[in-house]
Amino acid sequence: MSALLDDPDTIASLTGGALEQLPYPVVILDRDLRLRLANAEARERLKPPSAEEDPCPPFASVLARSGRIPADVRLRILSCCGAEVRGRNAPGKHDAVFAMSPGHTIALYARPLGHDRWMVVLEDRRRGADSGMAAEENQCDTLTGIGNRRYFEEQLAGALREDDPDRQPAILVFDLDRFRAINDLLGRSGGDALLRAVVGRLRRATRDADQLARLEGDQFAVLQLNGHAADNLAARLVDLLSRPYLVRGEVVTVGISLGVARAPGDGDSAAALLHHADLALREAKEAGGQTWRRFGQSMADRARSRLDLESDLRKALVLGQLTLAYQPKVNLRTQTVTGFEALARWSHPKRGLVPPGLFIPVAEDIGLIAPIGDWALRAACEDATAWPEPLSVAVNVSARQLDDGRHFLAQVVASLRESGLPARRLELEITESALTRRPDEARSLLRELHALGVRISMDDFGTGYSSLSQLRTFPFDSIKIDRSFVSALDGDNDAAALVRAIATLGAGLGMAVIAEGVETSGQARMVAADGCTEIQGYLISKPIPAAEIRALLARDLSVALAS
Amino acid sequence: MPKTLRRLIYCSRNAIPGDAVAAERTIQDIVLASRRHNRVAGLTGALMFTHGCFVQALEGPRDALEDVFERIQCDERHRDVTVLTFEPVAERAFSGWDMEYLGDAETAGSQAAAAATLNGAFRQEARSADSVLALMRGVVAREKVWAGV
Ligand SMILES: Cc1cc2nc3c(=O)[nH]c(=O)nc-3n(C[C@H](O)[C@H](O)[C@H](O)COP(=O)(O)O)c2cc1C
Repeated sequence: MSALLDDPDTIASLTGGALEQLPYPVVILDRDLRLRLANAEARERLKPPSAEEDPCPPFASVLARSGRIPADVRLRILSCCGAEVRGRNAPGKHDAVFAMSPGHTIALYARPLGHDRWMVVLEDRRRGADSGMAAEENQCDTLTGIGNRRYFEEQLAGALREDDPDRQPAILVFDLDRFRAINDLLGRSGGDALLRAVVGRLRRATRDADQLARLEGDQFAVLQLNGHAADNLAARLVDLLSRPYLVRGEVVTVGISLGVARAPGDGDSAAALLHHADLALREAKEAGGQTWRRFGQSMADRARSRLDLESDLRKALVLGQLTLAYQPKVNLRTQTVTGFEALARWSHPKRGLVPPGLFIPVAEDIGLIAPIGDWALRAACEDATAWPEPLSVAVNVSARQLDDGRHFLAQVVASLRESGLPARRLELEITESALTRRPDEARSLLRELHALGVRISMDDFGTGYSSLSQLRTFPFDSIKIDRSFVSALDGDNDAAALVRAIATLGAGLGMAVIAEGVETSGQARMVAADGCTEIQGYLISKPIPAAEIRALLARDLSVALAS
Repeated sequence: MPKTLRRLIYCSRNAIPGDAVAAERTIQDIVLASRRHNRVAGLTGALMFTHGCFVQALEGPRDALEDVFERIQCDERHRDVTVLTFEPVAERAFSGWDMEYLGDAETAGSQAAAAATLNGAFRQEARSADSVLALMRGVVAREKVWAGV
């Protein structure tokens, strides 16, 4: 046919009638990959510029402007067309199929027409008929065009059913490190653009047989039917996907953390494999991110023992395993006890005494800190009514409790009313870090509590980053200097200077200044000289059960202070 | 002037397997492929290969740059890609070059300067984008003189 043609564009007039009718997009390109002709379907789908606007626009920009095809597929289409145009191989050698989304592929055929013209057919292939479409809609992640969690679980379950010992499916689950922060920086749509770019790289780095899915948010998964090289892919993905991105004009650096689990050794059900890949992913994150881990039994053991601890802790409150111990605070001038700090203790029949440093963070993670805090507040008020006036009780308040300010306020009011403890004998200890999250809300809550007559104390002062000017805007009655400064006092001039500065500041603002963790009389003398008004620590007493408080109050404290 | 003209400059370390001859051959392929793609996408620029490192400047519409960069980032023939700049610019510095190649022969006169510039660039020192651009333009200018352009 081409032998008869001397003007390349006559091809269009000769074949145009037939091309025009075809139910899929067909375009004719020149050697520079410029668009010379598009049939009706191609015009409908790609919306190329009109002949007046641009008679032969670059195919690259036509594809880009159509907005229908993800960048990575676009580039691969261009690359195939380019290879065909260069004619390195026999015609048709560069035909390819691109996966767009689950059940949706684009098949590309490129053929030379002669006279510097090439025909490219892009055929949409969708699995099944109408039912296939419907299934696709709820199995496809609309943001990125890959599968969603449901799709992935189905594919994985299907792969596990195939009982072929040579084919051991593996899954790789990964997420982006610090995605939340990046999302804040780029804005929601910028974050979405980044997720699409991540999927673009994921597509390039994997083979067409690998199944891809976005499980949720910034978490993705890959299923390899034959997973013997999953570790290689894991390393490749961490390398490629952690390289910087250009998104909306910004350079974005983000690492990925990835976990691998492989059947049957790492689990023989979809749920077990996903869970184990997730554990491996968490270990990768804990190792600092931008790395990968293969699931191992020790991870499951650790997760198991953590779960056991969580479930024991959930029962601890109801089973009465939690108790309060009290550590006295002593006024340095009068050498008398001014009050006690209530500290939670957990004694478990099998575990013994579990240190607070171990169970408090777990309680925070599993949302148990607020109920424990509520309980401690009530129990402490109850206990304190048995002490002589005007001894006070100090209760620690966690950041979580401040999050629900209304509830907390109601708890304080109820605890005071039910116990009959006067509000001025209750002190609430708040850490610096609990205030930094939502300072405005925290400030107004503390002011309301203060108006009730409750005293407020800043705990662990010096460990956070609160500015001194900010301190003034909160209604604090006292500051507690963190134990780390006190223990550094012996021989560290900087620590001494800091303690002095805090004490001066506190005095200036009319606050009591309490040094925590005072263990020796030497330290007591130093903090007294630096201007602290009270001390707390082993020098006076360790935390003791409520029942021993009377005996402690009968002791002569000047002995300990003078020794 | 297209309204979103930008310039991207990055450096990276060579990861082409094999010896220098293999590298030279592969780089020729990369340059040929780049010219082909860049022409279509409306991109211009230069690629320098010296001291086992690539330095590339690419300029054009933002979207085209972001697209080609994605492809370049997935290329396992180099690693440690460090972006030095990705900024709007008023005009092209390499207009007319789909991808000018500056290999060892071309940079022969600037070996020491190139090494110093590269060192600063990987550490992302301030103004390293400017020094890299100046270095590349210097080499291109000398090229033109020799070629009698
Ligand atoms: C250092 C380096 C620079 C590159 N620069 C470009 C470039 O400017 N344009 C481009 O299209 N490809 C560039 N590539 C090549 C791409 O990574 C990719 O291999 C190529 O675009 C694929 O083209 P092909 O499918 O036609 O072979 C570069 C690769 C390397 C290693």
